[in-house]
Formats: sequence, structure tokens, C-alpha cells
Amino acid sequence: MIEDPMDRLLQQARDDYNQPPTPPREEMWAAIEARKRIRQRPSPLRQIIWPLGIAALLAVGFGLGRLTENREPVVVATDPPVQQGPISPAMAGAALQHLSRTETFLTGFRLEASARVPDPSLLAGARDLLGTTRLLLDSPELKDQRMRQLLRELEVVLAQVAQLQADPTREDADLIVHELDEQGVLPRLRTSIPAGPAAYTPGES
Amino acid sequence: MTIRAIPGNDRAVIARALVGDPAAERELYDRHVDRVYRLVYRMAGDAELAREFTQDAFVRAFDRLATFRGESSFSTWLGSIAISVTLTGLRQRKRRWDREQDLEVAEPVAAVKPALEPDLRRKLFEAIDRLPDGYRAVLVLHELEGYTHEEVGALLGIDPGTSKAQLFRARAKLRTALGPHAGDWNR
Repeated sequence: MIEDPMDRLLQQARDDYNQPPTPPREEMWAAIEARKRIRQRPSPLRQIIWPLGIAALLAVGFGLGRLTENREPVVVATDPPVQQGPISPAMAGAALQHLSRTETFLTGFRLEASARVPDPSLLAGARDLLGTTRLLLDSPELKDQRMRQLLRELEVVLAQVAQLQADPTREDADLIVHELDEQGVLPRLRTSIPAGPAAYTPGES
Repeated sequence: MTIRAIPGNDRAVIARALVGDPAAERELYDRHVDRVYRLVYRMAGDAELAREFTQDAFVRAFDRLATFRGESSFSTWLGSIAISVTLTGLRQRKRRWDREQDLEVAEPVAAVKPALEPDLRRKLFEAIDRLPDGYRAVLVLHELEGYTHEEVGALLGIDPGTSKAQLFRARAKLRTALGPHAGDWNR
């Protein structure tokens, strides 16, 4: 027996509101398979991007080396000497490690956000990575526009994640993940990193 | 209604999918696509969006299959991904189109009592569309799709008590929105 008029209305809505048609099963499956194929197929640009990425990272490492050597990063950054030459492997390694740590962090964040509200201790790592990203972007030695674009996108994502730390909600985390996926940030980040682990430890600087 | 579509066998199919059996993903898709599409369509109300969100949900689920720990049924896990994709996608479009409207500050649906019953139904549907996302999700899942509050909680990642509270508020908002039409309810 229905006594509440609202129940009667909702019962009507049950039959009529956004009543789905027959799902286009085969059409959707074809689209899913197409997306899977795209993800699995090695990009023809991949072989070009890797060396380019490595070259860009070497340049970044060189810039970082100069910053550390002079111990006056602001002055060096605003008035850099234009210099070409061999790069410190240690600096190149540091730059690679930053991208690798960022990739590991964002992958972990993406997984965490899919399961639950991300833990604030995980989110705390974003601020640290954000600072290093800004340092790289401020380096005048970094001239590779593709790399700068990637770092700028990482900066935006990391800033969003860092802000999430104050009031983490699953909806906001989902939104960040969705944008991350839509813009394909992680795949592009991965193609910029040569194979080999550089483990990220939360809180490590 | 139960969330668990075909509980026991999903695990075996998932295991096959994880070792690269191409037929296994299709099998999971066939088992769950109707329910996922139905949920997504109920939320999105548009065939094109429903198709896009359903595809996105399956792609994400297959990508993350290794992270499925079996703490809930696969059906619930997949449903929560689908709802998350749908709500996020709808929210992005609302922001993009700058059409977000909060029912609390919105004008009543109409100041003049409509004469026809179909008009009341249309007003009801519009009022449901304008509910905040969380309220609308609970209303659709519980009132229209018949999920229990425990199942709604599992799908939305909220406590069952929160689901009940949000449903209460959703109904209250509908009453407010349909206030001028109250006389039509008892026809």
C-alpha cells in the first residue's frame, strides 16, 4: 500500500526516469577493444621520444649541477651562462630520479584514489615533488619545449594533489585522476623515463 | 535487487583475464555490461554519454584488474568505478557548460500550478536532475534501481547511514521543488 504521495511519484519515476534503451553492446565492446589496442601498440614515436627525453634530462641535470655548484640558485637561474659541455652523470641521475619518483607517486595516487579517499600521508609527497618540479622549470638550461610542457602539466597535477591534502575527498581525487587520464600525463611521463627503478619514498626529498 | 550478478564464477574469469586470456575480458564484459549501462544511463540520461561512460568504466576496470582484491564482489567493484566515472564526467561537463545549479538556491520549478499530470511528471524529472550529485545517486540507486542502503554504500563508498540521510534530504528537496504542485499528488 502506498500512502506517501512522494512514493507514488517515485514509483512512476522508477518506470520512466532515464529509462535505458537496449545497450549497444557490440558497438561499445568494439570501442573498448580499439582503446586496448591503442594502449598496447608501441608508439612509432617511442623510439624517438626516448633519446629526446634522455637528451632533455641530461640538459636538466647539467643545469642542476650548475645550480648546486654555485649554491646561489636564484642568481644562476636569472643570469645563466650559456654553456655546452659534458654533463655530470650525478646530476642527470638526479633529474631522472625526480621524474621517476613523480611517476611512481602519481601511479600510487591513482591506485589509492580508485579504492578509497587517499591517505594524507601519501598526499604529503606531492608538495615535495612540486618544489622540485618548479626548480626544474625555473632552470634556464631546460630548453626542450616538450619536457617543459610535461613539467608544467605535472606541476598543475601535483598542485591539485597537494591541495587535496587539506581536505581529501574521494570526489576531488576522482576528478584529478580523470584529468590525469584524459590528458595522458602518465603515459607521456613513462615514455620520458628510461627503464629502471628509482623508488619513491614518501617524505624523501 | 542484488549487486552480485554471478558471484562465484567471476573470480575464475578474472584469474584468466589476469594471465592474458583475451576471451576472459569479453566474458566479464558480457556478464556485467547490461547492469553497468543501466546504472550509467539512469544517472546520465543520455545515450551518447552512457555509452562513453560505460566504455570508460570497463577500460579502467580492465586496467586495474590486478588491484581488485576481492574485498567486495567484482560487480560492486565495477559498479563503483562506473558510478565514479559517471559522476566525475557529469560534473566536468556541468563545470564546462557552467550550468551547475544548486536546488537550494534555485527558484521553485514553477510558480503557477500546472494543469496537466504529464507536466507534474516532467517537473519531477527536472527536480531529480537538479539534485546535487550525491543525493541524486542515492535516490536513483535506492528508489529507482532498488538497491539496499548497504549496497548503495558499497557502490558509492559511503556509510549506509549516510546513504539513508542523503535519501531523506533528496526527498525533502523534491518536496520543496514540487511544492506548488502538491495538489496534483493526490489525484
